[in-house]
Amino acid sequence: MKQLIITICSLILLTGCWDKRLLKDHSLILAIGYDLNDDDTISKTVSFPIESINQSAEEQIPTESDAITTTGNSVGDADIELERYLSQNFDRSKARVLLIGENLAQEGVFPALDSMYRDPRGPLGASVAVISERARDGLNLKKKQSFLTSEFYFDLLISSEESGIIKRLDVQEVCPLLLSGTKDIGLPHLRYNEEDASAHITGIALFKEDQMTDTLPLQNSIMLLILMDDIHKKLKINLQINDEGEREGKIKDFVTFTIRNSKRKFKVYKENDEIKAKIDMDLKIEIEEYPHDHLYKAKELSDLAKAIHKQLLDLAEDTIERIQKANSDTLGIGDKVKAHYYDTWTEIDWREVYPNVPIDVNFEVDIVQHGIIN
Amino acid sequence: MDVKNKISGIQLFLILIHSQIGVGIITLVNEVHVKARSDSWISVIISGIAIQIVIIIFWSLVRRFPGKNLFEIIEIVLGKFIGKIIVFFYCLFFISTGAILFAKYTIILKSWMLPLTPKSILIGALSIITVYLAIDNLQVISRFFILASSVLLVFLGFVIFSLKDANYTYIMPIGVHGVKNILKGAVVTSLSFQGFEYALFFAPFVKMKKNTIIKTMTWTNVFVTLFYTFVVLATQLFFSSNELELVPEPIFYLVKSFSFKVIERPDLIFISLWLVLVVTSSVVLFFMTSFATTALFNVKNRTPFVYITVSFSFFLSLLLYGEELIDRFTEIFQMFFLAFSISIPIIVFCLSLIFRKKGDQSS
Repeated sequence: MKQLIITICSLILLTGCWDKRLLKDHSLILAIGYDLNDDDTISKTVSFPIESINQSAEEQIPTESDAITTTGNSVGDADIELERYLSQNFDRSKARVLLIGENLAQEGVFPALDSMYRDPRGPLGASVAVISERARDGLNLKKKQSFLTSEFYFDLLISSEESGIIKRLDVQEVCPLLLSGTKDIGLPHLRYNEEDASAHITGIALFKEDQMTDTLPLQNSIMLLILMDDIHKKLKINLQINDEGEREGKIKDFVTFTIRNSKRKFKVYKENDEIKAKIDMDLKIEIEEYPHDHLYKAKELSDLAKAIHKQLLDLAEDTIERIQKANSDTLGIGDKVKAHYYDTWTEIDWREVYPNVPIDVNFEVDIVQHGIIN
Repeated sequence: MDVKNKISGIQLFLILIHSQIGVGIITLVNEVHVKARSDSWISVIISGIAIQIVIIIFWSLVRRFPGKNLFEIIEIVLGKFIGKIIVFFYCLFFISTGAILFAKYTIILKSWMLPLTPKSILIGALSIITVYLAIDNLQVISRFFILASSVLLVFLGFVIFSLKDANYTYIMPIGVHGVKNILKGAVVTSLSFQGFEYALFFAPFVKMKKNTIIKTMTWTNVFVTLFYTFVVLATQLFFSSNELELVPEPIFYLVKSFSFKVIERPDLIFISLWLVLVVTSSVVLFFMTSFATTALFNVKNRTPFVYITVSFSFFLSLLLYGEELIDRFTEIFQMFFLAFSISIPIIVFCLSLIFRKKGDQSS
């Protein structure tokens, strides 16, 4: 009798559920894009999978993406608007990519992200990227190599990260950096190609706090990641080491190499009341392509190392000049100043000081391998 | 109370740990951080040291009155009438502690996991489990706590995993916010240590030599202090100072930001584990509450009082709604905590010294 009562009670108690969210009632949004319009309203574009019409009943796999754009005064307003267009409730918790239009990025990204941080189901794992011009176009791709737009962007970001061009940041990783005031983010920068409706990575978008100030081209992006000691194993660098025309044929002027091993010494110090930074990079590289060959000669090898060293140094100096001009402290020098020279930190306005901080870069290049031929 | 069911030293250790680590640990980091900023972890250590001093005084008190719990000691020292009044206030204190525990648990659970489930159901579910365990004797409770301790390990595992994204500059420079703020933070933290004073009541139930109780209490305190310090430190290393201000439950947030290959939202699993810790502290709390009421009315049977006190807290917590209200209530409550958990036992100890009162050595 007692057991019967317990059984009935638990039947009543266990089945009741308020907080259920059934998949059949929701459209899964896999990619989100935010844009700032000219009249200061926010446009939100969502990309979600739809089932294509011409497929057999057994295989109900979503194979197409559709995108809807709504406009509102804020992201929340655009969300409310979205409910009017979607036949099902939207569920953004599975979003994998968050694209931010360049206009919005220049104005400041944090307000757009607020609702994501506030929602317990917010997609904190989504990768963030900046796209020019508009995220709306980016999510209406024609050429996407993959069935779903979101997959295309996600895979593109992952493969670019693996080849060392960009560093992928997700929604959560962005937040502490945006708020810290001592270090800035560098987000992947994409470009939408209007002619064939495709998109590709162009480099890193530099941020000053939550506002985008500049973009770095490909070579500089790679150098920035090297300086941040974020070197990926598959990273390949191509440098022109000779433009004097001494050797015959332009193709022979170039060298491609990978970094096998790296060591970074990053020091921020004070000298005569002036903050200075010093980066020492010790690189062990492997030559992947060097049409000029003749690497069996010791002299040739050391000359090549010297030439690479010089090119790297030039590139590094150019990169640092760019990030300082953009007032983007992606290297986290402010972090170190605050940690080690707190008195100085409270006195100065870091944003004023940073662009003029002397940053000294040194490279130590060692060729350790050159493939299976000399 | 059935004295024949005595508990061992390790069981006392577990009971004390579980009564201290509960709802508070989730919000602890944010609360300390508001006061002590990047030096929060120092506050936690200072708080632990202060509690250790109190524990030594408590031990001296227990040693003067062997085989007696705090309520009996109070009645011996202050006389029956005043003693009863103080015990009555203890009952009220425990019931309102329970109400705050229920209210905090609900508000966190509602914002993180079950936004649509009615409050009464959430509190009701916790109440039923609490009653189910709290009507049993200490030995049964401590056996369950041995099982529940595995949760602490998983908890630690998650926190250790977060260290992969640690950034040491977030807590640098050390000690920059001044002694005053660090001490303020320590006062806030001390609320999370609430539960250590139960040793005063459990001491007669422990089958061990008198002198080893202080060892158990000290180890408990060391463990809890280190646990809190580690959690606070790891959270501080993960979030920048400015972000920590915005996040009231940083530990959940930290776990939420991990996304594993198979598990999309590890925070849901983490919250479920945390619920076990909530249950354990609520069980000890209501064991204590019913224990206090039996002392008040001089009765042997504890069971009906468990039901009564839990339902009191249940209804009281239903009245507490909204984060603002709970915060304000907690702030007032902090004074009561200092009074009941720390001051009264110390005052009783001083009085027992002045009046030269001692327990019966033969018992």
